[in-house]
Amino acid sequence: MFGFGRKKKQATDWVDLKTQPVPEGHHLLEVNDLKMYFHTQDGVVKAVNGVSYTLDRGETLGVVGESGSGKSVTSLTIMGLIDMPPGKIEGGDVLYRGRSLVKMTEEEMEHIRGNDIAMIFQDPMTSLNPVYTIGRQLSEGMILHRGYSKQQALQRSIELLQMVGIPNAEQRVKDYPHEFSGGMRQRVMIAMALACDPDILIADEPTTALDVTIQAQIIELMQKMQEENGNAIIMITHDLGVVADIADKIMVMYAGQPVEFGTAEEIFYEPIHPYTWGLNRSIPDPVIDEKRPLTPIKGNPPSLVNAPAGCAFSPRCPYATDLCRTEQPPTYVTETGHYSRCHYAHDASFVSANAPETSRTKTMLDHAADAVAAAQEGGEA
Amino acid sequence: MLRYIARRIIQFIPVFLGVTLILFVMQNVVPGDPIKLIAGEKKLDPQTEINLRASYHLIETDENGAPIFDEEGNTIETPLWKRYISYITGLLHGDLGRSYQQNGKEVTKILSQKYPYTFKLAVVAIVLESIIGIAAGMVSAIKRYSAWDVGVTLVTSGLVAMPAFWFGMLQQLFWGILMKQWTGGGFYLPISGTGGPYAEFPSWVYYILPALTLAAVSTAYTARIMRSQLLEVLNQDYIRTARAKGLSRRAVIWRHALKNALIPVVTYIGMDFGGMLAGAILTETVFNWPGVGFETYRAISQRDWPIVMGSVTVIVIVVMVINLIVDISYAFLDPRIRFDGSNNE
Repeated sequence: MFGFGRKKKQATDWVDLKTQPVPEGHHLLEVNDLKMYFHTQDGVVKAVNGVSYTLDRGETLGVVGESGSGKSVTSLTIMGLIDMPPGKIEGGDVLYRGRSLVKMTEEEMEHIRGNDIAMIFQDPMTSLNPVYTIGRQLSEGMILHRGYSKQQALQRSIELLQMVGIPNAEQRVKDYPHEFSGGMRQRVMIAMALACDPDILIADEPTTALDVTIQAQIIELMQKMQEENGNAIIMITHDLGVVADIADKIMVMYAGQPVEFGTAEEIFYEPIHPYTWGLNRSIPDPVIDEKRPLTPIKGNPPSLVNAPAGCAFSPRCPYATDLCRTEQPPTYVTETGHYSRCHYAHDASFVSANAPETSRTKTMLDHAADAVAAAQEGGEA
Repeated sequence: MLRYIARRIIQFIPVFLGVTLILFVMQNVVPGDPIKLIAGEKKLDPQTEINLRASYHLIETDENGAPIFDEEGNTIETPLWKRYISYITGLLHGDLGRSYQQNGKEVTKILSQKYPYTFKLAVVAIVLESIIGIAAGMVSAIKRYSAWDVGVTLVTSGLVAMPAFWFGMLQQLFWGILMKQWTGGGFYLPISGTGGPYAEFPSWVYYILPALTLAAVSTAYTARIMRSQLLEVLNQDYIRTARAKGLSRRAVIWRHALKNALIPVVTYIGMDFGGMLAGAILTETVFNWPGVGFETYRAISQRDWPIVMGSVTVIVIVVMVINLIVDISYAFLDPRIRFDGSNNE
């Protein structure tokens, strides 16, 4: 997997793609029917099976799904960080500014990674190299992509640390990762990802390993950075709540496939796929009563080796029919581009009868009303 | 750091006293009278025997060194604790006593003649071990499941399974006898005993076979530790972070993986160096190498206790110092380790 060859780095004729305009008729990032399969001893794992979306500068895409739904593998495929073998791209394409990332050579991808597309990982505790200072790790990308001297890179590292809100940055830049808390390390990771001013920032569950109190700070920081730099964000999470406020578009993934895709409003207020309903019902409500019970989705995600014959969600879907269990659902697309892979998505009466009452704002209003009522009762008693 | 070193050196004292005390007791339990062995087959003249015992402080003497007799005219044996204390006192003055066998030659003199050979052999062996072991382990991990990896695994398994003395003899047979035409007997000299145990070995050639034999097993372990460590490190999240930054695979290995993977390897090599300085008894015996290991082996078989005590005493000190150096080197490899409790989470 790793080569020994002592080749000269930095092809001089490379032109930074992010300085080029997006070609006519293209988006910043286009993922078309991407399929990434893993060939293992147990069989072929269809980790990503037909994912499509588009993304433009300044936009935020939320990718939501359970563990093993293929959301991380999708982004690692875009970054070219999947080892092949065992992985293999079985079809589809990823276009960045009109150029295919799938067809790029390893050396070309090295120019893209960290420079045009940067990534933040789930666990900040293990994502930094323990034996090098923060400053050195921050500098690395800038020295590589921008040709900075060590001194320039260190100076810029201090600025970056200040930007992401690390106090006393001049001193902290000389510290080692273990001298930072989890939240601070994730800030360092964000600073590192933004060091070369990338077009796209992929955040793979950036808040999962952090304290609840720190989660909001990190999300806010990413939003603030996006406002300043205008980069696009792909936010991968299993928590619908995380993407609720910041995502423009949301893709819900299940068993390697996108089952529903739409704007954040569509996914939250007018979801048309039973799996999205299930996710919505699984968000704990501050007030649990008969009207808003906490209803987890029963069962486990299917094996990606022996996927169910029909709809992948059918074994767990409370509305599944024989049609669902035998035939793959088609993609139903509305006029707004909101799509769902469900046999009954087009059936408005089915949707309205079964969709949960999840309008967040509405629930909030209800809560406010409940609170007022409770206060009044308390006052009367 | 200085406080840590001071504390560690203080911890040397009980270890050191314990080891020497155990040895001191043991030499009194082992059968065979060393003084009688000096004469070999011949009977010792009683007066000479008494004088010898007196000169080695095995019996009580007066201020002039003349033996003291009890009422029945027998000599009085010096009790063990008294001899131990005088041994330690002598040690603190740099005196390790005198050999029983080599005409009462001072042990410090004998050891200072032998140690350079052991030290040079250990250095050559450790250099071979580091270069070959680390390189083989890296290739094995980087080209995992390739022919290289299979080859390294097979060779290391073979080396680990092979006893050092047998490997040494095989090499002597191969290079010295089967390949005599080709080597011109160059490898053959040190093992034929030409020149005797005090022969000078001016050429580096003579180091090759003993060093290879001495390093064989530990090189195999080094390669295995290096392989497993590098594979483990390459699976770490921070390696993925480095790749996501756009670093090439080569840069990731050399800059990010290697330093992390080397930490346990350095420990192993350091400990191994301590062991080699303690004298490689098997290797030195097979190759007739005039080092401490061979000398200790010879001294044990002849009940020459002062030499055994002396070399073990030096070995204990050397091993403890090497271990301390290895521990200190951690701090330079791994910034998470701080010895004075400051800057720690």
